[in-house]
Amino acid sequence: MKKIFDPPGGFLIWLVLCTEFATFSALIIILLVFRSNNLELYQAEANHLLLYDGMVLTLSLLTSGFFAAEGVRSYFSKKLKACKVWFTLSILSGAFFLVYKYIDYQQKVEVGLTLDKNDFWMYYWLITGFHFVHVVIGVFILSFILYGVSKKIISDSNFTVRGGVLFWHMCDAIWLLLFPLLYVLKGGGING
Amino acid sequence: MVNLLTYLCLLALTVFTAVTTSSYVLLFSYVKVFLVLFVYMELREAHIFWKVLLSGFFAAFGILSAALI
Repeated sequence: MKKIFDPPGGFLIWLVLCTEFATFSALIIILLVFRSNNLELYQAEANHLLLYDGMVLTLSLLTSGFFAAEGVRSYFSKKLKACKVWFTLSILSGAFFLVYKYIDYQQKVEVGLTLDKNDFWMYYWLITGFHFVHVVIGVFILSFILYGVSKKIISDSNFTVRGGVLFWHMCDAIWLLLFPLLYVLKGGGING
Repeated sequence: MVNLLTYLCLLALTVFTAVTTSSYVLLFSYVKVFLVLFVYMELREAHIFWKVLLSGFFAAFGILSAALI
């Protein structure tokens, strides 16, 4: 029974993850309902989102997630030097995502694709903006882990290292659902 | 090694998602989410309760979103 309430990273982080997944799922369902009710508008507006951009953003988050996973493995294998390198690479990949997305946002604003243009862009800014904030928090958490590993001040490694990285993977997993919905699925239904 | 193989699998699925004209792009994404959950998130060591909870959640979410597409 004890193991149920003692998952990897600790119970608290799983409570946070379940809440976050539920919130993002609700937002995605709202977007899907909007899409099914306004298919022509959705298709026309989604064409402003380039598949190339979506690919670059997805690959940067996946790469960052891999580096973070390797960082955790190195940490618990007591390879602290390698751990620092993995976490540094993870932070850089995460920062790349933020810079790339920020530039993408700027370009959208310059051509008038803002929050108040229509419902599609309202949902786009709401969902991707919410995710962007999570990535910012995730990069801060990874930076804190790197600082803690460097200074050897981490007391609860299960919660700090594993739990922190779990939050980061949550950002990966959410983006993996947003990527096809916004950047790939521009067709009109399950068959295209 | 497991992490590297998972990462390569995730990359391959991402590229496949982007280049395919198949309507099952969401399915590939759910496979990716499961890989992230069960390998990167170290859910392998978690109690079966968490595995069932998250699997059930994403299965239900997958069916619901596929129905809405």
